[in-house]
Amino acid sequence: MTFGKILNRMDYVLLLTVLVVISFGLVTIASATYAAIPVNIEREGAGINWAALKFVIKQVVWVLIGFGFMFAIIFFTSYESWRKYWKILYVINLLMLAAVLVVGTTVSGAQRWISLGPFVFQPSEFAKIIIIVTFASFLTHRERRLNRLIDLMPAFVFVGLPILLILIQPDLGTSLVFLAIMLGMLFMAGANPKLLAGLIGGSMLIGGGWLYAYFKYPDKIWIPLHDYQIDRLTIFIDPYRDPLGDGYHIIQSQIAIGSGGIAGKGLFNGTQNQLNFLPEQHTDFIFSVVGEEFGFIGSIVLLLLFFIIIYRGIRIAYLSKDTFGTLLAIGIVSMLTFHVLVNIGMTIGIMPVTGLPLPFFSYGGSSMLTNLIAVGILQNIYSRREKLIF
Amino acid sequence: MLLVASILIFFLLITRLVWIQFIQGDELSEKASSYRMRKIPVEAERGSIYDRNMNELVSSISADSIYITPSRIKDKEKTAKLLASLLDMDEKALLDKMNKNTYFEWIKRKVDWDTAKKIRELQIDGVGFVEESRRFYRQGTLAAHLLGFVGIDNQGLTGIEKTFDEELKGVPGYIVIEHDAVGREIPQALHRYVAPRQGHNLILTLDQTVQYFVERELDRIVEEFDPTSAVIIVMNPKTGEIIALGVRPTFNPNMWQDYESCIWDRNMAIWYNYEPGSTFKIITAAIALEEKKVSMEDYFYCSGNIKISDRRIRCWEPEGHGSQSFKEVVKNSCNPGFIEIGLRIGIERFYSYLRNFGFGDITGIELPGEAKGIVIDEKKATNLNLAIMSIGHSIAVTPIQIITAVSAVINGGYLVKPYIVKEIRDENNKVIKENKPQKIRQVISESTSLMMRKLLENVVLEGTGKNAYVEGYSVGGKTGTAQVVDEDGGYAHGKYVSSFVGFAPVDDPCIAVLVMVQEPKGDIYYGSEVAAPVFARLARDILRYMGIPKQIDIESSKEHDILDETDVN
Repeated sequence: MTFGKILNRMDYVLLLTVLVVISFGLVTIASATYAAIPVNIEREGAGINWAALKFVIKQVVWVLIGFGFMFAIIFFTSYESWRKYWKILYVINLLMLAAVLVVGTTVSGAQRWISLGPFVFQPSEFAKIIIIVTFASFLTHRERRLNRLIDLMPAFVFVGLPILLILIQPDLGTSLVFLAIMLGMLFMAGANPKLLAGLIGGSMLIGGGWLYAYFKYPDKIWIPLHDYQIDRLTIFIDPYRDPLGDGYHIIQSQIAIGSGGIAGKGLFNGTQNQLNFLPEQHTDFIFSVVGEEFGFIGSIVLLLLFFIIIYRGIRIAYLSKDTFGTLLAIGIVSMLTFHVLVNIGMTIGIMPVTGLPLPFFSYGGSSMLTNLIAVGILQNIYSRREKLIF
Repeated sequence: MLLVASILIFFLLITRLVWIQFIQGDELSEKASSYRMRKIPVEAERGSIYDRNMNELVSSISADSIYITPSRIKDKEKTAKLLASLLDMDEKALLDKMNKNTYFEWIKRKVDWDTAKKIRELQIDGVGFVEESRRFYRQGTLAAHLLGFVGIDNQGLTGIEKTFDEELKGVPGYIVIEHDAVGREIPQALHRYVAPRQGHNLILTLDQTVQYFVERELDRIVEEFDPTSAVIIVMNPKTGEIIALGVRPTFNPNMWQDYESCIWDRNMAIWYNYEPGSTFKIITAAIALEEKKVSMEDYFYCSGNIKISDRRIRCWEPEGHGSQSFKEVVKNSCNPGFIEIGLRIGIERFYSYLRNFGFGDITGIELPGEAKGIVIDEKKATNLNLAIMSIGHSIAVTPIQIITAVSAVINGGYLVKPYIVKEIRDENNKVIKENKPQKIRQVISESTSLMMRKLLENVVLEGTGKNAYVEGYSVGGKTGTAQVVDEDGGYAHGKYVSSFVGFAPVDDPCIAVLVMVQEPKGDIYYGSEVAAPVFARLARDILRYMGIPKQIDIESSKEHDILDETDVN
């Protein structure tokens, strides 16, 4: 296909929405980091806070790199060709995840990063894309043969291996993203919906029951998690149990959002944000800054933008000319939706704090890159859909 | 299907957003601001205390308190050294404070004016001043026990300062400083100053001049008799207003810390339970007259002692007073006479009057730590108890109780509630509360009261109280000398409480005075010799000061009345 044809057939609604979300994100990061970077009080008002602006500049660089990758994917490859490499990609993925455990850098108790020269990247981020691609290939071979539990077993093992490696890091949030991706794609591949629902419900019941039993008899019940992990997972139910410890993030975030009201306190005017009561306000808890400074209107607008992205993703899945494309698109949609749900849910206290970034919005290079690559894949599928009008 | 699922997910998020931003919004907003505001309290100026003529007795003067903002001090070591020498403080402790990661540390509070000025002139960066107020008792020891004193935070600890702490202290203001999560103050941010509300002023029933007379007499008592303690109370018998109240040993409330706690932690005038001795015979006589158990015409015989049950109670006059009229019994303070009178009254009636006169219960005066006195349980009381109580033993009273009860006897029969605070005014001199005299109940009739006044005048004119005689004025009163109860319950040998309760003028009493001297040292211990002369001097000065005209006729009648009788008990 020629450049011109591809350009003509791209989903500009999706592209534009992503651009708007990214710009919104850059402004919010500016506000969040303005406060996070200490300004010497004595020299206050001396001009632009360059130290803080550095974050925005860095993020812009990542966005540009991300767009580079995105357009490379759109224009220089065709998604159909990727199927051939699925086995080698799967192995590379596992090796990369294993490498993190060996040579990775430990930050805040979790080994998630690999340094490559001046860049630090998080393999588990890219692993999401690779798993989507490889799992899509895997499933195309087993289409319509997914009705029994036994049929699902190979799929579970396929996704289970990388999940296990990520759990060891430990990164519970990302492992859950993998599960979400797997379930979304299985559903789309025609797995028995009742079976899937039963599996989800069953594992939730078992997990919940296990936790409940653990809380009731903490000495007798064994659990494959550290105490601090359990605390973080369950604190959102009652953050005031530990208002200065694990509950602090959640309480401060809800205070920030709640005090925003309808129209918000205005950019750079959120007190919770500007005075650093909000933790991680430019990364995981950036939605709280939106809630505080842009209010309910700002939050709803952002949610709507995300909805448009997801809606376009689903639309692309249905318009794809083959099952592989459909599964790819659904994998990406599942990933994005899960991120949005868990990240925003955590800031408003309905999801545990897992440290998942808000797509296109939170500060962070790997996440931005991954998501822009994902958009590139969606565009690739869309621009190569069946010709309907010709 | 997937679309529906994602719509549901977004719906869930939006619902929760609505909940947080609209339903919990205000509450969370409030929380957001409380998280970043820090309050620095600004002390309210404590109200002043005035006497009845608006002479200022207690006021608040401003004193500088010094604080530091550690981060703004440039040369910490030098500053610590400098402040340590000027303030006479430990250099290392100061340096520790300066190295703290805070934005506000007190260095020294309520520093005297000269030192504060010196430090102010140095203009050291990071050293600041806050004006606080320090309590100043203008007259030093004057009425120390009544006024009380305050602690370092100007909180009332004893006396009127404690009872009226709420009214005096006002409402503290504060400076709100906005700070960020790490506690850094935000420049140019909202610094709100909420002015404190000044405390209310108190206007007492006390008269500074009369109080001065009282203090003078107490000093003289201490000089002459070196007693364990001494109390003088001057009260308006008709209203219950306390005009003066003094206690020895005393202290200076400006530096109360320099005195032993037993000096300032109790006010003998309201706390000390003692056996009133003969002063209590006023009560016995009043009850008997009111109940018509005795009339002026009744005669009693005193052989020098009286046998009750199997105990023999002696009169202070070993020879006995022989046959005497009721008037003479009172004049002579004759023990067998009063015992017989007491026995005529009977236990039940006697107790009912005791209660009506307020014995065994607090008077309710506005001072902390009032004692109730000790009265034998009525059910356990025997005739022997009654006999002894009639002459003022086997019953313990507080000075304030006895003067309140005696006031009831002479003021027309009304028990009034003693009080100290006349008015409470705000800073603009607007009266917020005015305390009016409170008549609690009528205990005896007007006519009995009149008879009692005449009988007690006679005690001074002709009897045991003649040392209380005041030239040119008609006065009445009664002496008392009681042995002090020892720790083991018996009477301590050679330890007495000498007292005098008196009033003037007889026709229309405007002062009632109690002089109580606990354990005077030396040979003289009779109330007539220790306490009565004090009353005489005091009453003379007070009556003159109050501008009560002299009554010439009394002087002439007195001439032949001063006899060479030995005056005792």
